Amino acid sequence: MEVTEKDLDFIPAEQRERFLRYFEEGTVAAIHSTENKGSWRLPEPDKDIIAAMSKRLLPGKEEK
Amino acid sequence: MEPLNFDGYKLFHSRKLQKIIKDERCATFCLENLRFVWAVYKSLKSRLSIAYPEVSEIISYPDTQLTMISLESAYLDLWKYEQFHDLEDGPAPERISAAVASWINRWRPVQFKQETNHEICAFFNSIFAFEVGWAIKVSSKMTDIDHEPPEVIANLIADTPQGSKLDNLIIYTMMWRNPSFKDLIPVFELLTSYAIF
Repeated sequence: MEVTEKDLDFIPAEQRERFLRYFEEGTVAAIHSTENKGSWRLPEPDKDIIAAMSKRLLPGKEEK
Repeated sequence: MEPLNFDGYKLFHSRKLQKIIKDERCATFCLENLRFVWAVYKSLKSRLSIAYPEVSEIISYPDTQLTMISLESAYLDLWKYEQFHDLEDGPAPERISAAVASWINRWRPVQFKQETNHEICAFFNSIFAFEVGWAIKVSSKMTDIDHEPPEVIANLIADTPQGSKLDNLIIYTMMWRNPSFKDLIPVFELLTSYAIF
């Protein structure tokens, strides 16, 4: 669906352009394109903390 | 652990999600509901200029990005709901109202140009979100209630600073409980079923 300026006539002229551009480009989709897909990451978990937690939560596991 | 690098934290939409958002139906949904957003904004601003003229001067237009993200998020909620329940006629008006209201309440698209300690500014987006939801509800073809704005809505920004108990309860919920799409469905259903206005 092509959104035109006429479709957005209920918005004041000074703001209309911004909304129109959003409909044309889809700002969020444009900013967060698949090119950035690899850049979002959680920090690597701290191995020492995981080991300490495992030991505490699963005390019998190491003994076996 | 490495220090946080803000450049590394970019949100992204999965390919499927991008496809859903770029769909024609999503654009239609956003355009239709954008009308309500602006209609309610104008209505609220005019009421605000009578009740609190000093606040109406510093209010900004609804932010483009925040408004559109709210509408897209609402569409996604409804899309998921629709797929899950296999709805043929689309979601009921109360659900559309609830989805839009909950996301506008979260993204808070109306900002203020300067700092003020007027309490209406803190609650403004909650009132705004609720009224947009209500506008969607009453304008739907499926509704069987009167299309006139009910008193409860008119009272939200009224001469009386306290408003009614119901107004306060609704705005309290919107403001402090940050309701989700599903949390707000019964609110709109009850307001429709029990036309106490």
